[in-house]
Amino acid sequence: MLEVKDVSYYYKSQKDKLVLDSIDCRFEKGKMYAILGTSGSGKTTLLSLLAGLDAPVKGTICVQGEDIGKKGLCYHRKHNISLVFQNYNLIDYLTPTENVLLGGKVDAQSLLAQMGIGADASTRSVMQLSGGQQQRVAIARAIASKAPILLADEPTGNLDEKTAWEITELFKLLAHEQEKCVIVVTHSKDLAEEADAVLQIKDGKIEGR
Amino acid sequence: MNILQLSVRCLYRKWVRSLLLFFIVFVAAIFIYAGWACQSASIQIQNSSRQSVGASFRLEANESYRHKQIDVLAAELDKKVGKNMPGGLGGYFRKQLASGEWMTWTDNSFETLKLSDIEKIAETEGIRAYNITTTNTVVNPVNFTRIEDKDRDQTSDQKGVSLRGCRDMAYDFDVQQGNIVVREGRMVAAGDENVCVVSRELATQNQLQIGSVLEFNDWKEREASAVYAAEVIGIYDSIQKITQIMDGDSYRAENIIFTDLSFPEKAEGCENNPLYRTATFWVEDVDDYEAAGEAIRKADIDWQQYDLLDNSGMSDTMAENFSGLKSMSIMLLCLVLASSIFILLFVFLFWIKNRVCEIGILLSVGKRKSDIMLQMLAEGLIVGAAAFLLATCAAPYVAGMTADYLVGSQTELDREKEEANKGMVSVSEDVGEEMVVGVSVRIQGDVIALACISVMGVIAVSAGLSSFCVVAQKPKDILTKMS
Repeated sequence: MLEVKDVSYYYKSQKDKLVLDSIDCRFEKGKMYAILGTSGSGKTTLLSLLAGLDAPVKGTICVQGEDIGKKGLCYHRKHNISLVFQNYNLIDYLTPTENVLLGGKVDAQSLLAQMGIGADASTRSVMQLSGGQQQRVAIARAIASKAPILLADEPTGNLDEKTAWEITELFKLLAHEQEKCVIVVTHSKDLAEEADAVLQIKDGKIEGR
Repeated sequence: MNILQLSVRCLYRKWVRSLLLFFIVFVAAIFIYAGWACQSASIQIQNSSRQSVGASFRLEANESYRHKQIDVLAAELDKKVGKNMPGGLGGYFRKQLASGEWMTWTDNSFETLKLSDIEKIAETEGIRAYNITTTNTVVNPVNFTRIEDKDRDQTSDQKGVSLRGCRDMAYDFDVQQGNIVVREGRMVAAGDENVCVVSRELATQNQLQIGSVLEFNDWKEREASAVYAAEVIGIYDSIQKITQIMDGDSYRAENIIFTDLSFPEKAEGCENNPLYRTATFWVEDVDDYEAAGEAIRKADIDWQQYDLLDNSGMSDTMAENFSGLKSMSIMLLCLVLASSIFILLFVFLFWIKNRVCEIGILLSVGKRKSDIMLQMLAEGLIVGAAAFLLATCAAPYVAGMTADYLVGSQTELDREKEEANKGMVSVSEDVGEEMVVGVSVRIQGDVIALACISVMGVIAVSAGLSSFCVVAQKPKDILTKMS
């Protein structure tokens, strides 16, 4: 489904230091992947490249065998992927329902209800929701986009243990029941243990799978 | 959710920010309005010595336009014959004197009121009669003597008499004012040729009677120029002395001879090149005086060339012809536009810098950068449109106050300049004391359109530039800033 072929990346200001060094990996639909690594190992950079937020210096990233650069990174972000961030990243002047509608045309109310956000909370300001509720809204927005790949950057980093477990279960559900390819960048060993596959990154290289 | 839906929600729910932007755009818009409106402002000027009499309107050349035209022709002549070269163009001439100094002058064709324009006004509804008066033309009296003050030094005088050509003497200013009365013979009427009406004093001194023939020629070439004769058809008595327009016996009241319209140009040696100085139009019904004035102003002529004075000496002068008002209003406009762009640019930059998170989210859900820029622009334009609407209501008051201020300061500046030049600069004619009695600023379709384009342009430039500063970055960099 999503294939990374010989991808390297460096910052223009530090051309001699490779952040990602000839990465090769493959992600399939219906599975949940965890990318583990220490800070500065390059895992978030890999996620940015997978999300089409930047282009690799070398190598290609393909979805269904097609280079994502071919139709443009904007097209890739709109149709192939959906993103969930550690700090939820909801638009503060929109209600939870409206935030979900940013992802795509869906029945936002019932989607939020499935995520455990009631009708009352779904029309309030997002700033009045708890962290767990905000992350659920962010996941609902990702689901609304109907993209086959869901990328999450430290999605449970700001959540308590119970909520983190609930969110992890939600990701598993999305992968196994909705046949999505869920890729989660995390520090959390607990979350990684729940994944179908784990990629360990160290100094810009994949060290273990 | 589309761009417009997002923009409206953002403006509505971030109302404090929107209100701040609204206020800034409102202030900018009313000053932009003032700038544009001042350029087409009408300044009402009252001149006690140039007023028309009774139910009439008086047309005269506009002095500021005349000066501007001289500058234009001088520049065109530079292009045509080269700088510092003698020549002439459109009635403007220049030549170098033996002393090395340059002399410039204009002929009658440059100075005259256009006959076609006078006739257009005369055809206006509500006008019953009209008179054209030539400028006071000094000519040499060939077969008679003028009235002279023996005690006066005449070396700087032209030693001539003044001819005043009239289309219809009955409507002449001094006749209508009752300053002179023709008690013997008749007055000059339309269609007369080679006729004149002289003063009682001149007739007595030269034993002139009705039917006498007076001869005149060019005072500059007394011996060589052609002599033209005019028959005396009337003798006038002065009830009150005609106001002398310049010093010297050539211009004294008793030496003013009224002639038919085309005689002065012949006697001066400029046949078929008349110099019409004023035209007076008499209104059919006194009760419709104002309406007739409005109708005259609608006549299809180039009004910037003229002043139309009413019977109180009031005339409307366009901003363009009032000292430096137009250039001052252009300066005001440029200043307001530049400062508006500057202020709005910073407001939008501050606004957008605080929305990096939102921009990052929108990019991550696949919105194009152009869509995000459009959203910022739409927000600016929506607020701008609302502020502009309110500014349109306030504009007449603010534009009026601004125009008053600009005219006031310009008048003060002119007065100071006049004071400084007192006794140093000669004046050709006594033009009387001009007084600004009001400024009228009309906010009409063209001003609204120009102000609208300017305001929206300012917003588009500021919003476009500021959003470009953020959106030009890579999505990854924006998202890094977010976290």
